[in-house]
Amino acid sequence: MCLGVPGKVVAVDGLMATVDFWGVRKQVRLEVVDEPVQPGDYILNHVGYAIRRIPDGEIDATLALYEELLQRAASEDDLMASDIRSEIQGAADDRS
Amino acid sequence: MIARDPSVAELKFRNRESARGLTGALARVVDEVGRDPVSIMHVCGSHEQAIARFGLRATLPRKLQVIMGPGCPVCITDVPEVDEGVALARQGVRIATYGDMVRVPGTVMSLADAHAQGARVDVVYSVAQAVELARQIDEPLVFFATGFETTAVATAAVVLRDPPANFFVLSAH
Repeated sequence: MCLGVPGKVVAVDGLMATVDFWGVRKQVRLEVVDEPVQPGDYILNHVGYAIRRIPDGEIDATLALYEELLQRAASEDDLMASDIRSEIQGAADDRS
Repeated sequence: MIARDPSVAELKFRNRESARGLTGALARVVDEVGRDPVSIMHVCGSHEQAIARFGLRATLPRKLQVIMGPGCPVCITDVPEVDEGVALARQGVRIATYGDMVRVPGTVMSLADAHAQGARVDVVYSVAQAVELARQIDEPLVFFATGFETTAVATAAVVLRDPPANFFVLSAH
């Protein structure tokens, strides 16, 4: 749980958003996010709460960084990548 | 976080040849970057712990500056705080906390150890799940709340949203 994970907002219902993380959808709360978010925006999620709306200009670079980390997880035992994977899988909709 | 590869654990940075090779490689990379200093921020208290424990800063190239970054909730939780959670759990209080927290050792044991001895410890992904659990039961539930700003705000958010009377927070924020 060291790292937050970026995801794309699919739907917003009040203070709850449905967010897609590399194909895994889960509910993320919006009480503490720094800016209003709407479908299509990207947010940084940490333990079920959006803690930041990722500025449009930073989305591509942010996703590229995480994708590099996730690809590394496939080839070696990378602790940071496994931390991100567990954050993506944690409380996914199909498990809650 | 602990290295899981036994060969890494055995190395303990005491292999001179490997250490020299690594510092040499680091110096070359830093020179290639061409800045002075090259600043790198780590992201985990366990990184700082390893750096301090093995005196790694003294071996880094002069131009390389490794800065302490944010610790995750696990790394920055002190042992006495874990002890408080363990003590409550062993007294029969039901505890909920983040999954990574249950394995963190206290003075005597971790929450996972307490659970193995019969204490009730629930793992939740988020503090909101702990509140939902409290709503479903008739006894006190203590959320062992750890971490810095990124998790403290989540705890504050549920406290402000009128949680049930049996929901309590043991705050290590």
